[in-house]
Amino acid sequence: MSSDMITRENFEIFAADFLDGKLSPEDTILFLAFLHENPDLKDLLSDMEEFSLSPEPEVFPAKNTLHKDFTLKTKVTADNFDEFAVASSEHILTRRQEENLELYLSQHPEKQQDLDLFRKVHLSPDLSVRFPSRKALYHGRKRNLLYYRNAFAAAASILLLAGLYILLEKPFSGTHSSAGTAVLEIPSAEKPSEETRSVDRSPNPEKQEYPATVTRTGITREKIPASVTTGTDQHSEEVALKEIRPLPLQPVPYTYPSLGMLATQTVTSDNLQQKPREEYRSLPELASMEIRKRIKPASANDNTPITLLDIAEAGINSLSRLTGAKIRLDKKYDPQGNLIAVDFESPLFALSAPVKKNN
Amino acid sequence: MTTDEYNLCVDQYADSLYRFVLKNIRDTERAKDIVQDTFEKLWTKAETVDYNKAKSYLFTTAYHTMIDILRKDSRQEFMDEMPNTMDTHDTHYSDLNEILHEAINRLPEVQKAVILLRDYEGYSYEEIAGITGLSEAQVKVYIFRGRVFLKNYIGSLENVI
Repeated sequence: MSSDMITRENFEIFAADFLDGKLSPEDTILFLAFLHENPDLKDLLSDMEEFSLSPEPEVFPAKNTLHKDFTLKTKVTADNFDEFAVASSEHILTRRQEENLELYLSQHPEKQQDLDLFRKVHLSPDLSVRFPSRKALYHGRKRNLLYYRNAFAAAASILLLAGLYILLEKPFSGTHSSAGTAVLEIPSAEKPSEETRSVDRSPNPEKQEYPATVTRTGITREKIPASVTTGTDQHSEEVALKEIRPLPLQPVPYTYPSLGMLATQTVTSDNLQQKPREEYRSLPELASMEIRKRIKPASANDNTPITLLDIAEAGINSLSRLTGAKIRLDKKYDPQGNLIAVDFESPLFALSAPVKKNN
Repeated sequence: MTTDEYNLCVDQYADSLYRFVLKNIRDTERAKDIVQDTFEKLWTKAETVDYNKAKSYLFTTAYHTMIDILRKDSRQEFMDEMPNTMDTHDTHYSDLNEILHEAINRLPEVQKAVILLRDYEGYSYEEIAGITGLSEAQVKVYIFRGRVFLKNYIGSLENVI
């Protein structure tokens, strides 16, 4: 750098370094020569030197209060009482510190209230507040078709019962002919419907000769002898609906169902012995047989247990017939005859669920 | 951590984590979201997070998520700027716990969080420092300041009553 480089325009740069003592000796000589040639700038620079700041001797008066030492001292004072009190409420004081605190409190009983307040300011959670969506947090829990198997089976059972109710209702409602008569199909004269009961109609002489029956719907029907009817089917009788009105509620003498048709006959031990017991079934037996026929027609005569899947299959098949929808539930078996999977098929979706083996 | 251990964490910590977040953020939907996100993060890191450290992981993750949200929330920023002084007490309280829960809502977010971790979960200063990323000395300072504020708050209420 030469003195030619220092001009009145750039001398401030050199001046700043000169005042800070950062100019090299060579540059300092050059800068002083420049100032000698420009006495006005020399005077300016000398004025600036008088404004240089120097640190004042004053100190922060409360410096001691800024010091923090959380390793509590053993001696309790008015200055550190709060720290002791908080630490006491947090149960982190040593035995000696606790003793000193008690000593201090005995000397300053007015501080006991402060300590009590510190011990009160501890929060306890409201345990009634619970996370409302906990189920959404779980992972890895089975949620396949088998998980809802019981729900499906229950729904299918309901559908099945509804279907059975509809199907079983038909024989009792009868098939109405154009002549105002109804045909009740019963297996034989000796095997009356389980849904009927004999009614003693003796007070009415006109109808006394025909045994009357009361259906579940409360409609009174009277059987007409075969000579009066024109029917030719051995297994059916034509019944005229002479009265279609509800019967008054009166005590009805109950007759054992299997002897219903014998109510007007003399019951002897011979009569009973002539009838094989298998031909007469109680209402629960008949219902069980009808249910088995519909649920497991392939094994209607054996005693294999009906499973939930059987009920579900029958229910879905009944629903398919009732609604016309193409839905079905099929079971897959391995060569040994063990159930291995359940397939559900519908127009909307299809599922195939393996069946867990119960060993 | 196995799947069963993860689900055990849900059983053990979902409610307490929810209470902690809800108390801090005072917004049911946001608290639910934070807990949900926290457990999803735990699930994604299930292979690397040990079951014994799962609780700390959950609270650490939830705390930082919550603090980020609070700092973005202008309403909460306004609360942070409120001076740590007494307000007028014109509310009627039925018990001390109710007063304390009212008072703690007036604390700055960090003080509130460390006191809740201390009181609700019983964490040590060191554990709170690990969760919040503060030094242990800072945790002590914040808890001390918070306690003093709460003490003065209920003390002034008792005087008023």
